[in-house]
Amino acid sequence: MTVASPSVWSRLAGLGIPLLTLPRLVLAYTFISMGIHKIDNPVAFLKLLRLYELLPEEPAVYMNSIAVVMPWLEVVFGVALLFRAPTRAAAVALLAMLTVFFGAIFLRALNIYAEGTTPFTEIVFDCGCGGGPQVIYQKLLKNTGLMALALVAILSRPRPLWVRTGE
Amino acid sequence: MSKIVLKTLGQLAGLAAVATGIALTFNAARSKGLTLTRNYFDTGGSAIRTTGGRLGDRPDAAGGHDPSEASDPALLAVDRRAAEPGAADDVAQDVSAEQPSDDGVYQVGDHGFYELTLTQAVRLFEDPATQTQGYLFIDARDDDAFDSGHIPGALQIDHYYLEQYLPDVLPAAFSAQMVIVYCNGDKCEDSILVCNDLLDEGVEGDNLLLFKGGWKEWTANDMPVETGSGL
Repeated sequence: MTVASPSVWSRLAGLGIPLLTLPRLVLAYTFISMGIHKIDNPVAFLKLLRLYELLPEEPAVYMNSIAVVMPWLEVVFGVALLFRAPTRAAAVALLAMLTVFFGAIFLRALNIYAEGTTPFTEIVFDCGCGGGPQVIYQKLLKNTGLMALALVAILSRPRPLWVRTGE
Repeated sequence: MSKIVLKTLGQLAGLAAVATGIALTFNAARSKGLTLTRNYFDTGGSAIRTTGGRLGDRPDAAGGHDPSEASDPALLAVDRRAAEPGAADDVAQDVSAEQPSDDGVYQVGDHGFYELTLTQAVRLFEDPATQTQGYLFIDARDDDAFDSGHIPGALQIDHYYLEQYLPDVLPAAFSAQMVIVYCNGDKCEDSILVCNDLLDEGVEGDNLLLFKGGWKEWTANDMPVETGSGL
């Protein structure tokens, strides 16, 4: 009687790494660190928010409130995702935020591109995500990746995916 | 399915409410919190700030001020110098001690304040009056930027936390012959905002000058710098 060689899945399971936990951890870490960075310097985030020209400057309470509350939304949703409390709701919230961020960054990049002085792939600015000035098309690709991670977290079952070999 | 959706939305709303509560509480408690109702970017439009107050007029195409609309000697001197840089008259000589400009004039920018070139800023910096704060440099950047380097002798006003800086800086601003405000340069607006703040506090508009090139131009030309909080 021959024994089949272990599959890739069973080898990964043997490492003890739950496959669907990694997206959750990466997403949680990203948002918690981004949120803390913004909480640390609310004025810098407020100035960056203003550059998007999506919110009116008057009454000032709208933009100021977003600058104050959004970073904490990132941290709280990130922590909730980290501790699965609750996973799906936190992942849905982060996916929604990522969608808004993607749209805002893309629109701003489009406006710069429309000025005709910079190719889209060379547009660089500080998107307010905590990493300083970034090449925007790469940032959009990263955001797309994070959105995919959020989808995985939303659709995954509560238990991690294991594949065990028979003994 | 709808039960799951409703449950998820309910949990989401709960988390958002918790986050909002924490955010507002933390913001209210910290010294570097934002005042939610304050418009931090109100530059007051493009009215000319000279002659000690807003006139509501735009600068003319030459960047100066229509002499027929003001009787202030400093303004008239500026306009005369703009028209005749080498002209010598009593008014120009009267104000020359306050506005040394043997290379021209202080142009009025779109923001309504006089603007300094690097050459003019350096001349003021090297004048002995700067040592006694007769010419006062004000740095409009935040604490980290100021501490890592600023024009020697400059005081700091962070527009976003005015009440923490004005009490220490205003007395010096009132007694100075000229107040030169700068920030990073380029598209930085913080120096304009601080000029407006000083104007609102009663500092004469004629005495407020904006060094447009700012910290970037200053350091790009290897000018002296000072680090630390200066206290």
